[in-house]
Amino acid sequence: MQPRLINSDQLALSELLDRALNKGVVLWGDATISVAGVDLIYVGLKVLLASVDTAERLRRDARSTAQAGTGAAE
Amino acid sequence: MTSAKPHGATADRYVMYVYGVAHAPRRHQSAPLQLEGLVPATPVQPLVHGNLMAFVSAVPASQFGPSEFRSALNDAAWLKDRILAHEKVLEGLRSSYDVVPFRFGTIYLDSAKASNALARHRAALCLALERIRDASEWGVKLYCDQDTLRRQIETESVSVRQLRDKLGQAAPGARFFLQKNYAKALDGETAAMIASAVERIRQSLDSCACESAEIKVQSAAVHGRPTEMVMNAAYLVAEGALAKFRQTIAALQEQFAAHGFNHELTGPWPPYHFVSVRQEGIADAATPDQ
Repeated sequence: MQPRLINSDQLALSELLDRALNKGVVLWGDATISVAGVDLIYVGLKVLLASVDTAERLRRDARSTAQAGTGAAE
Repeated sequence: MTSAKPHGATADRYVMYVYGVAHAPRRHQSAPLQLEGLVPATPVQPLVHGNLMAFVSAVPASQFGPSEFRSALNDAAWLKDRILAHEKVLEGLRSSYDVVPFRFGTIYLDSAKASNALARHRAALCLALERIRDASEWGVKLYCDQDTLRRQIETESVSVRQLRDKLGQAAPGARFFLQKNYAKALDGETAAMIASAVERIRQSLDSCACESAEIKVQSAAVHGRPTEMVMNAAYLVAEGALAKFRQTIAALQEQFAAHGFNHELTGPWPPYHFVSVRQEGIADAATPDQ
């Protein structure tokens, strides 16, 4: 079976965030230095990343629209 | 134990980023994993401890040290790429190993401390590995087009139709309350239809999965669709049951599509929802909204 992410253009980022930031093994302890920080800022991160994702999609759409425009003019 | 420094490391300090844990192969394989790590030039390496093997990258402390990582988290574009890289490593390992995925951002100061953690949590990690053996996680989201469903109820529900007939014949003075009753009945039947569809779909999927986990439904702002998300769940599906799981989804889709329901399947995911190894005494954080 093909890895889902690598061959997929349309990654549902929100789905990944629900998993990679909110689930998965956490071995708390003095040796772990940053997991607690990730936990605490989870909500903020999701909002922030969703906005990055939207911005990228808009840029992509703008680019393909521009390309389509150029194509039509030629 | 594998040396954890990349070749040609300079005087830079490194910390240990852990992606996940698998059973160590019986014979030590020295073949490199050939997987790009979290940042360029930080290849994924095995860190063997007893019968367990962590997949790690030595990453520069200049980005992943305790305070450095905390401030790096504010850079959303950087962070997004790192989270994607974390996921790609786990997906790259999938074909060769059953891996218990670690949460993004699990970092130890050095490989000795990472090994200590494996030793301390060995029993729990072995249980986690047993739980996810030969299985993968699949996400199922169910969307409902309420307009379609409501139109259907308006034409097919006897009680709703009776109320509408009454409303049509009512004197102007009585219309206000009849209108309210009608709207209430329609809302109630719509909600009941959705609840019963979700229940039936859950039962069907549970019957061909090892385990299931509920995920909070996403708001429209997050999923970005015109229809409403009415169910969001993760399923742990054994390799051997995957064909049946897919067929079940296809059959459910066919059965419920006319009522305005639409299934979305994603995966295979690393089994993030079906591992939970935590130090004693620390409860699962409540799942935040969205």
